[in-house]
Amino acid sequence: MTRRRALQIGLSATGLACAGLVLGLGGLRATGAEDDGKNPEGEIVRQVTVLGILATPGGKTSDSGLSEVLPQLKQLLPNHSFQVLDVQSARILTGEAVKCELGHGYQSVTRLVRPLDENGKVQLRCELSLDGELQFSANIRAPINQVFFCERPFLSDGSKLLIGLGVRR
Amino acid sequence: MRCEEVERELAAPTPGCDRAAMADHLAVCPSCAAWAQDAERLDRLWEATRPAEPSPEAWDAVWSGISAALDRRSLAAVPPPLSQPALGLAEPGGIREHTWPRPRTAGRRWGVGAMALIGLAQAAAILIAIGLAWQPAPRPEGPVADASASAGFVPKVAAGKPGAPRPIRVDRPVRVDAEIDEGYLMVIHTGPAGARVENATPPEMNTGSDGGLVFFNWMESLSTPRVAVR
Repeated sequence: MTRRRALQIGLSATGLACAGLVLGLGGLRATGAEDDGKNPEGEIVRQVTVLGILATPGGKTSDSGLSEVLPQLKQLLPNHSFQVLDVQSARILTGEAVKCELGHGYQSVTRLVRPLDENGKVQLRCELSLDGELQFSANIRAPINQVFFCERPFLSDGSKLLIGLGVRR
Repeated sequence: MRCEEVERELAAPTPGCDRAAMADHLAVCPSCAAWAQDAERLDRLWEATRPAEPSPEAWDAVWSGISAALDRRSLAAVPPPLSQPALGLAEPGGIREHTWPRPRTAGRRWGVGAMALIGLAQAAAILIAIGLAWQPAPRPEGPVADASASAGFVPKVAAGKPGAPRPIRVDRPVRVDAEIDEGYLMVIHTGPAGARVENATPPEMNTGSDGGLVFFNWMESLSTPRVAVR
């Protein structure tokens, strides 16, 4: 192998190594951005999931799809049967909201108020309206990756509305 | 899709319908799911009660019988030639009975009867199916919620069909500020006593079996990502 040939190979290898380094650093940066929950524009995005459940006192049968979480629901509301009303999940920015249609004229709107406050929590406003009239409004500061619930009387038969909420990065 | 669109689609399916969106809606909307079940029941009933289709030979026989009967009727309407002795008028001794061959009506009667039976059976099946479909879905009955007034929460029963459970409406919306602590399962209750935040953390939580996390994962698996609204 001539010196010229060795130089060519060496330069190529160095070029490839540099390209790999640049790609790796770019990938690390992208991963870091994702960990921070930021979109390419640098805005913080949060995955907000909202679930509406109808809990009926004394009911015998629950939705079969709920079997996985039935023990948790039974702990929250013993002697109730459960039915999923609606579930929605979306990646949203500050000011955006996730809507759930819960039937009987009820609608919940969960808005992202602050994606990250000084305590590392996310701030949400969860509002429930009935035929367009506000029924309750909750300003909530919640940790990320943790589910919590809002519970309220739903129908005149004693049934209750259980809204499960959770936010991820 | 909205409930009205799904119900319309269930009643009269259109070729351009977004089946995936409809399936998504049916998976999460008990009211529309009940409609879908009714529609399916109606289809099953229709299939079970639908009379057997007559064979092509049977239809041919019916139609040939009808056309033959019509032909004979038109022939009968034509006056016979005057030289025809069958009229009897030319015969000495008076009038005798018409001797033209009478049209055979037995085949026609069978065809008409069969068609009427099929029609009646179909009408009966449709009526039964419509009756079943219009039956209201069974709703859970239970004690009426406490409607006693208290500060900030004055529930009253919203107007609706008599006898059916109705939404609970409040005069003044309940407002609450809640801080959810990390590592706890918290429930924000709003009721006649106002609003309160309850720590509902089960004992086994944070001991290797995190019920809240299981629930959160399940919630996300159930949901379909949607476009947010601003």
